[in-house]
Amino acid sequence: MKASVKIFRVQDQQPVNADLLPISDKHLADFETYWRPRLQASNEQDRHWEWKKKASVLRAPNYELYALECDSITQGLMILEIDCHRSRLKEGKSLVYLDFLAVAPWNRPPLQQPPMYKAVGSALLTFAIGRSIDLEYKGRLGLHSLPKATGFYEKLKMINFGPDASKQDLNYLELSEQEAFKIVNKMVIT
Amino acid sequence: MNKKTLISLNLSSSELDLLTELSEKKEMSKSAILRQALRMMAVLEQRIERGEKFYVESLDKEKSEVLLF
Repeated sequence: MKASVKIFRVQDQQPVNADLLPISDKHLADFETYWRPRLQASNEQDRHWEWKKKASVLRAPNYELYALECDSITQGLMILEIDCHRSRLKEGKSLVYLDFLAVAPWNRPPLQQPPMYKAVGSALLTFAIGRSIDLEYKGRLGLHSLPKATGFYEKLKMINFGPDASKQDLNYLELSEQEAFKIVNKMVIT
Repeated sequence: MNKKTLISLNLSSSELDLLTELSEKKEMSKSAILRQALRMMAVLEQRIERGEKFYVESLDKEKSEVLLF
């Protein structure tokens, strides 16, 4: 799955094209070279995430791994699980589970002010909704949120089911079919 | 990766009933059900090849049963 998406370049306040691609060695190398040093020096809650290890362990038919690239540099990374999770909003129905999502350190306001690009996370999430629609899950999406990211997902009208003891008490959130439809119709993906 | 190939498939009446039942229950087309089933089977095969085992846990969490494939 490859898509052209729009993100927002802060410097000149312009929307720019970015590519959303299956993860490759190049994206993992970008993580090691450009992301890791800045993340490890920070207090970011995902600073311990090992994307190279995740990419090697999660090579299975039910996982999809994506990178968002702009200016030939990896701006965001995402891993989806597409078969083994079920909705709580619509009991028993399949949904796309957003297993991991991260944006490059220079796109995070806590690490860089102003950030280089905005809407990278939103573009990845919107793509995940698109995959849910492709798989005939009607846009349903679920995830466990790192504490600082919960607000971002709640702003997107995801329903917060509260802490999940089976996932280190991370909040479990789900996007309804109705809200998924609204989000996808706001952003153009080609 | 996006290229699709159309195939035809012979199913017994009970297999078709099962496919129809799943399609209605999961509110997905029969094609989508079969694609998901295919992925799941591939996942099982992959993990079995690694020597992993699958367990089913009873509702009261008292018993676990190994599934043999």
